[in-house]
Amino acid sequence: MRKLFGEYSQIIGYTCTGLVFGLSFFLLFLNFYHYKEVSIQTDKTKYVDDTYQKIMTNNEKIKNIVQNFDVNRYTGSENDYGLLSIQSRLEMCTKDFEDQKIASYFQKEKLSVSDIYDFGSLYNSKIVNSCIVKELYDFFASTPTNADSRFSSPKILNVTPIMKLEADSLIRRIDYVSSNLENNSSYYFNNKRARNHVFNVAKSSYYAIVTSYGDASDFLLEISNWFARYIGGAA
Amino acid sequence: MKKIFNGLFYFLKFLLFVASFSLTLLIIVQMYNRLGKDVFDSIPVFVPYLCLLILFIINILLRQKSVTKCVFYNITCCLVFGTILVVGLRAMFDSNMILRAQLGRKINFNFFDYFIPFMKVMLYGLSISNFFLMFTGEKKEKKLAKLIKEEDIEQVI
Repeated sequence: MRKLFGEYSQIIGYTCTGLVFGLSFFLLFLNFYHYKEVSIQTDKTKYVDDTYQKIMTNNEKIKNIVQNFDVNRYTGSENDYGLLSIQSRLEMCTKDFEDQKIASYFQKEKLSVSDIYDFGSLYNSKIVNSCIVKELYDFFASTPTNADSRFSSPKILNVTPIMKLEADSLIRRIDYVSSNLENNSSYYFNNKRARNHVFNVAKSSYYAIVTSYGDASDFLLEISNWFARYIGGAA
Repeated sequence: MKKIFNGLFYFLKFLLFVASFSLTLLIIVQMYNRLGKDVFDSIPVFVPYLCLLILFIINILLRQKSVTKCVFYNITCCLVFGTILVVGLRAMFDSNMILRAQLGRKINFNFFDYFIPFMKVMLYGLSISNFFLMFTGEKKEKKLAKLIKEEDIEQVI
C-alpha cells in the first residue's frame, strides 16, 4: 500500500514538474520571440525625404512672407496689433517646424517602434500643441470674442470656421497611432500574421505621422498665403 | 557527470530563486507605489515564493534526496526562475515596448502584471510537485536494494 502510494506520488510529482517545465519553456521562448518582434525597424523611403523637402520649402516661403511684411508701410484699415500678432505667430510656427529633434527623425535611415512613437509625440507637442493650438487655433477661435483688440473685418470671421475645421482635423489626425503602437507592450500568442500586424502598424503609423507633418506645413503655408493676400500691397 | 550537472543546477536553483524574488519584489513595490496602493496588498503575489522556500528548507533539513537529487526538478526550477528574471528584465529594460516610457519609473508594469498569473501557476506547480516528490520513497527503496545486495554477497560467501 505504501509502495503504491509512493509510486502514484512520484507519477503526480513528475507530471506536475513536466507541466510546469512546458509552461515555463513556452513563456521563455515566447518572450524571446516577442522581443525580436517588437524590435523591428522601418526603413526610410523617398516619400519621407520628399515630405521633409516640402516642409523646408514651405518654411522658406512662410519666412519670406513674414519678413516682407512691414507694419509701418501698411495702409489698410485693419488693426495693426492683429497683423503683428499673426506675423509673430507664423514666425513661431516656422521655428517649431525647424526643431532639431524633428529633423533628426526625418533624417534617420531606420526607425524602431519607439522612435516612431516619439516622432508622433513630437508632432503632438511641437506641431499640434505649440503651433496649431497655441498660436493659430487660439488666435482664430478667440477672434470673434476679442474683436476689439484684434480684427474687426468680416473677412477674418468668414475664414475662421474653415481654419478651425482644418486645425481640428490636424489635431486629431494621429490620435489612433499612439494607442495602436502601445498595443505592442503586452503578450499575445505569436504567429506570422501577428508579427506582420505589428510591422504594418509601425510602418503605417510612420507614414501617417510623416503625412501629418506635411499637411500641417501645408496648412501653415495656406494661412501665410491668406495673410499675404489679406494685407495686400503691404507685403 | 549526472552528479556534476545536478550539483550545478541545485546551486543555480537557489541563486536564481533569490534573484527572481528580488526582481519581483522591486517591480511590485514600484508598481504599488505608482498606483498609490498599500504595498501590503501585494502579499498574495509572494505567497507562492514563501511556500517554495518552506519546502526547500524542509528538503534540506530532512535530506530528501528524492527531491534534491532530481535533475529534472532542478532544471525545471532553474527554467521557471530564469523565465521570471527574463520577464522582469524585459519589463525594466526593453525600450521598444511603448508603455515602458508611458507608465513612469521606466518599468513596463502592464507587461509584468500580465505575467503575474503565469508566475503564480508555475511557482505553485513547483510547490505541488516538490510536495509529491517528497513521498516517492526512493530513499527507502535504495536502502532495501542495498540490503538485498549485501545479503546476496553473504550467501555467496
